[in-house]
Amino acid sequence: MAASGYFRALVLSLAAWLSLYLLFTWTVDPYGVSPIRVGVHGINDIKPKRLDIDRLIKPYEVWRYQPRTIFLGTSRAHQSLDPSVLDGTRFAPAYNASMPAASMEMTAAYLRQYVRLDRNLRTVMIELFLPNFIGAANARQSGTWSEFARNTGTLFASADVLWDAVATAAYNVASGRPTFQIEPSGYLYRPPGRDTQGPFDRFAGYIWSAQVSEPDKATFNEGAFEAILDIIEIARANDLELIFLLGPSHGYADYYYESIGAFDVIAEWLRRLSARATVYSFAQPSDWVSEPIGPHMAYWYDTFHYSQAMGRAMLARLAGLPASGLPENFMERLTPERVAAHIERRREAVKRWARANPAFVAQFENARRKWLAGESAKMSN
Amino acid sequence: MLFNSYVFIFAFLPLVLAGYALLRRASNLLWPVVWLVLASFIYYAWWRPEFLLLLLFSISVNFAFGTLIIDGALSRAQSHAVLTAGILFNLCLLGYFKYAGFFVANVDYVLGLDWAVPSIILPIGISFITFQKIAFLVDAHRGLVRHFTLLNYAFFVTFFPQLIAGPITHHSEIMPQIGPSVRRDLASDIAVGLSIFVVGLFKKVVVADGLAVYADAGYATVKAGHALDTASAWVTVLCYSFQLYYDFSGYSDMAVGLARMFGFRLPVNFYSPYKSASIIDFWRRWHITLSRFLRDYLYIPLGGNRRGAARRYLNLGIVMLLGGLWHGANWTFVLWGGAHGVMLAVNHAWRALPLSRSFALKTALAQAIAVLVTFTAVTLAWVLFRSETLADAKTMFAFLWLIRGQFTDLKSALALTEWFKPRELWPPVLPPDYLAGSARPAGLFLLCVALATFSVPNTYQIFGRFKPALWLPEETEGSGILRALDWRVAIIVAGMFLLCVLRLSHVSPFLYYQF
Repeated sequence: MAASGYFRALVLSLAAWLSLYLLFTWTVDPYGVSPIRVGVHGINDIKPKRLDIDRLIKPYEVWRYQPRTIFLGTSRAHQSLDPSVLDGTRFAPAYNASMPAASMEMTAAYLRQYVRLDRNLRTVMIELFLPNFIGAANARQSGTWSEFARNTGTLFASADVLWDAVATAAYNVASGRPTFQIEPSGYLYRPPGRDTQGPFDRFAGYIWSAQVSEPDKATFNEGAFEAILDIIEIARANDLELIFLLGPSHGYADYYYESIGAFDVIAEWLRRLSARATVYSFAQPSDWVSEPIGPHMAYWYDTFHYSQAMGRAMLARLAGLPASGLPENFMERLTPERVAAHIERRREAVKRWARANPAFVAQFENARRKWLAGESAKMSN
Repeated sequence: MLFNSYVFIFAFLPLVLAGYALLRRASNLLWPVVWLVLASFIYYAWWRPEFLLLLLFSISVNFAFGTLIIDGALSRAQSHAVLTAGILFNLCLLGYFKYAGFFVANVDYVLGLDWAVPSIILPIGISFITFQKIAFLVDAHRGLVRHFTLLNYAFFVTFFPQLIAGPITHHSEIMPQIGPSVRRDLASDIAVGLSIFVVGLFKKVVVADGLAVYADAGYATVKAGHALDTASAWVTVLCYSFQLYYDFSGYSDMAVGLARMFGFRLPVNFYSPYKSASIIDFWRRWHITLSRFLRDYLYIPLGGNRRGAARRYLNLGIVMLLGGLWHGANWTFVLWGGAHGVMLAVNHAWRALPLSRSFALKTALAQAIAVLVTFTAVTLAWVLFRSETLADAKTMFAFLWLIRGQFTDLKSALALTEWFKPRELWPPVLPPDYLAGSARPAGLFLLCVALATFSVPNTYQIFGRFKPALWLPEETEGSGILRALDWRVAIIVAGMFLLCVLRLSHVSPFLYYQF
C-alpha cells in the first residue's frame, strides 16, 4: 500500500474508532452526563462510577442544571439531603453539591466557583460539621476555569470514560443490584438494609485511632472561620440567601465532643456565626437524635451520618412543608443569645446519655487510655 | 515540551513537518536543516526559555573546542590538552547544575558545616546533551569527525527527537544522513515514523502512566511512614519496574519514530532488556547508547579488561557507580549503580567458569529461569533507583521480605483484582483528585503487562523491514513481522492513537527527562 493509501486508511480508521467510542460511551453514559441520555434497561440503569468522580461531576452538573438552590457540606449532607423534597417550593430546582470530607475552605472555593457557573442560583444551604470547627486549618482552595474545563473535558473525552463505560455495562449485566451511586440531583443513594449497629459498636475504637488525627485536641479553627466569613461575603456580593444547617448530632458524637472539651469552642463558633448569618439547628436533643442503637435504625446510618429520613424531615421543615411526627423542637433558629442554652441542653443530654449507656462509656474510656498510652510511647521514642 | 502532550502532537509536530516538507523543495538543501535547528530551539525553550541561552553558549564553546581540535593544526599533545579543557568545561557545567547541591549537602553533613545548599534548577536533558558533546570532542580528537560546520554541529546537538533523553548519538552517525534525508520519500518516512511514534506513545501513555498510579501510591505510602503488606509492596515494586521499562521504551520508540519522519535513523537504544538472560545481556539491551558511551569513553580508557580480572571488576564498579551518579545527584543512584557494578562483576566471574558453558544451562527451561532471575535482580535494584532516600529504600526492602511486611491471606493474594487498591491510601497520602478517575485494580493489569513484556516482539522486530534504527541486531535488520503498512496496520495504529489521545488528559513527564 502506498503511503497516501495508508494515510487515508489511518484517517478513516480514526474516524471509525472515534465514532464507536462516542456511540458506546454516550450510550452507556457511566457518569450520567451524556448529551443523548439513552436509558438501556439492564445496561446502564445503575451508574456506580459516578461515585468515584464526584468532584469532577458536580461543578459540571451545577453548570448544566442551573439549580436555584444548592446544598454544600460534607458526607452528612451528601448522603442525606435529597433535593427532590424541595420540589414545588421556592427553593426548587435544588441540587446537592456536597462533597465527602469537604473542609470549610473547600466549601468556600466551590461556592466561589458555583456563583460563576450558575446564573440561576438564589439560595445556598451549608451544612456545618463540628469537627471542621475544632481541627487544624486547611489550605485555602480555589477552583479555576481551566480546572473546570479540564475536568469537564475528561467526563466526555478520556480513556477513563471508556473503562468506566465498560465497567458500568458489566456491572449492570452481571449484577444489576442497586448499589451506592450519586443520583442525578447530586445526593448519595445508599442501598437499604445496611447494618447500623456495627458502626456504632466500632465508634470508640475508630475515634481513638490513628485514622483520626489529633483526636484529643479541641482548638478554635480560625482558618475554617475565615472560610465561613468568605462564604458570607460571597453570598452578600451575589445577593444569595445563605442558610447554615447545624445537623443532628448523636449522643455518641456529643459524648466525644464533651470528653475533649469541644463544646466551649463550638459555643464560640455558633455565637460568632449566628451573629452574622442565618443558622438553623437540628442538633438539639430529641427522640430522633437520641434514637436507640440497633441494626436497622430509622434516623441514623452510623454515629456521624444521619439518615435520609432525617434529612427529608429537615428539608421539609426548612421549606415549611407539612411533616407529621417530628419532635417538637426538631428545628430551631440559633441566635447569639440562644447559643448558650442550646449548648447547655446538649451537655445535659450527654450526661443523661452517659448514665444510660455505661457500657459505651467504659469502651470509650478504655480506647482513649490505650490511645494515650500509645502517644506517650511515641513521645518517649 | 513533552512528546506526549497535545501541543506537541497537534501543533508543534505538524507545523515542523509541514515546514520541513516545503523547505525540502528549495534548491539550497541547508534550509531544511536550518528549519529543524530552529524548531529544536523552540522545542528546548518551551519549558524555560532562559535555558536556551545556556544551550547556545554551550554549543558555541564546544564548537570552538571542536574547531581547534579539527582545524587548529595542533600537535597530538596540544589536541589532547584542548580535549581535556573541553571535557572539563562540559563536566563543570553539568556539575554545577546537577551536583552542586548534592556536593554541598554532603560536605555539610560530613564536616558538620552549615553552608547553604544552593537551589539550582536543572536544565532539561543536560546529562544527555553533555555526554553527546563529550563524545563529539573525543571523536574529533580521534579524527572521526567529518562534515563539521556550525549548522551541522548545532543540528547534531539539538535535533529535537533525541535532544532531551537520547539516544546519545555520535557525530558520525548523524552527519552522513543529512544529505540523503532530504532526498528520501518523505511520505513513506512519515508513514513509518508515525506508526512507530504511536506505538511508543501507547507504551508511555497507556501502559507506563497506567502503572505509575500504583507505583507512585506505594512509594508515597512508604515515604509517608505508612505500612504496606507484602503483596502490595511487590505490586508497587513490579509496577515501577514495568513503568520505567515502558516509559523509556516508549520514549525511545517515539524518538526513533520522530527522527524517521524527517528521514533520519537514530541508533537503537532499547531492545527488550527484560528478556535478557544475564545482567551483561541486560546492559546490552537497556539504554544501549549510554552503555556504549560508558564503555568507549570510560571503561576502555580505564583499562577495560586488559589488566586482569581484578582490575576489570574494579573498572566495572567505577563505571557503574559513575553511571548511577549520572542518573541523579543522590546516594540512592550511586548505590543503584554500585549494585549493578557488583552484579556485572559476578556475572563476568561466573562466565569465566567452565560450568557456565555447560549444556544443561543452554536449555529453554534454564534460559527461562535465567531471564526470571535477571528480571528479579534488576527489579529489586530499581527500588534504590526509585526511592527518594536510602531509608525509604530500606523500608521498602523490609516490606518485600516480610521483615516488616505482613502477608495478606492467600485468597486475597490470588484474587489479582483485589491487590492494592490505592484508593485505600486516601486521604493520608494522596490528594483525592489524583485517584479520581485513574485508580484501577492493579493485579490484572500487571499480569497483562508482564505477559506482553516477555512474549510480544519488540518494535524493531515488528517494524524491522522498514529499517527503523541504526545498529539493529542482525536478526532484526531488514526483516520483521510487518510486511507492509496496510489497512490492517492502520486500524490498529489508529485505535492505539485514539486511546493515547484520550489518556493524555493525565499528562505526566517522562521519567528519563529528570536525568
